[in-house]
Amino acid sequence: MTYAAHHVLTLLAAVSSMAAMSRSRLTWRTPRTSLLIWQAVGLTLVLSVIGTALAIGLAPYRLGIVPAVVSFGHDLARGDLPTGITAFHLLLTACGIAVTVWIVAVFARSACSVATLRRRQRSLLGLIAHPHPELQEALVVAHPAVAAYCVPGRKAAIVISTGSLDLLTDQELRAVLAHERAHAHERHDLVILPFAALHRAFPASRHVRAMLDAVALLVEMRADDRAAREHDRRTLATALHRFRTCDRIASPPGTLGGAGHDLDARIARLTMPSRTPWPIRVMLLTVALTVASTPLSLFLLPL
Amino acid sequence: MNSLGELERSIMEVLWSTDAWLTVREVVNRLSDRNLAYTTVMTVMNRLVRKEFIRRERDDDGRTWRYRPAAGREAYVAELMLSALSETGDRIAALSHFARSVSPEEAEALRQALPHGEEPL
Repeated sequence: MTYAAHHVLTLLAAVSSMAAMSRSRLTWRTPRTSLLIWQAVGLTLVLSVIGTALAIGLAPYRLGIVPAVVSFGHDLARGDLPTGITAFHLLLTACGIAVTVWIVAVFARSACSVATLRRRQRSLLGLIAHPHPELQEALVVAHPAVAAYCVPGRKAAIVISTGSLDLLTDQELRAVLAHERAHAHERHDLVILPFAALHRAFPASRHVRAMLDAVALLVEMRADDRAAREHDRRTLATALHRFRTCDRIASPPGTLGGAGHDLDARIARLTMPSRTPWPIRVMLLTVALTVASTPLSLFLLPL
Repeated sequence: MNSLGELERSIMEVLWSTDAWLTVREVVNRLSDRNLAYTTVMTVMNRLVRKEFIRRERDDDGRTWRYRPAAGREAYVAELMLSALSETGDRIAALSHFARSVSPEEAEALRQALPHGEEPL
């Protein structure tokens, strides 16, 4: 039972750090470390939910979860379960296994749909986009809507609409492209994918949605920081400001809002940069590693 | 963009430039200043048929194929932009934005312009 208690405790820890992380603006100071913590929190959340169910369900085995599941499988195959296993234990075990299967299936489906979407984007781009005359890395699509984005992958494509070209100065355009290049190089799509999949697995959960939003914003801030290494922060800030203030509303129907608010946060961050002292970075990193390693060890080691 | 990709684009531009059905020979003749082999153009066009970017039907004589685009250029631009501007979880993972901005009316106009019979994204 102590084993299950550990999982419940990690679950509580993950949920409370999730609440703290969603609210804290400190996370914006070091986007990369914060992303690492979010990954740890997300992983912990999933592992401890599954872990709690399985730890209670398989408690009679007095083993770590993985060995217990293996023994349980063997016993089930022989049709000879230990006497300690009641219907209650079986129910929880089934729940734990069902959640695992569900999450794996949704992750696979999410990865497939992302791949399909990207393939479609690429073939459409092949037909209608033209390389920018000076900046060869950018593909230009003739459309008045204001958009700049990156189709990630092994060979990433950076797309910009003529609406954006009209909006931005040359320097701003270069800064925006640097931002998109950062997304492509650091494979931010792979950072977001698990959170998007989790949102797909639990679409009703506001917390999962908040986690996805927070991660998506941090990824943008990280790309802003990378772009600000090569370009003036203020250039990037004015580019964002132009997107923000052009006479279009930043939330098409059927999409989730918040983009305007996020833009303000990014602009403010670029105009008033603040460095985080390294002790805080080290502390955050330690937190991340501790949070992530606890449930993993609970899965593998017997108590 | 590789050269086959460029050829795909040139072929689409030829087909988009007219309302008529065109044969492979007519497309070859309309492609600007290139010494492209008939078979190369035919292969690429069949690939576009497979990808459902162009449709084909038998000519009146019942022997040669003739081709036209499955949808107008604007429809594909609209699809591309709409899919880039919408913001669901999977799409966030598929595309990374600098920022996006479109008015509700514009989004509706984009939806209207989608290829015929296509589900809104």
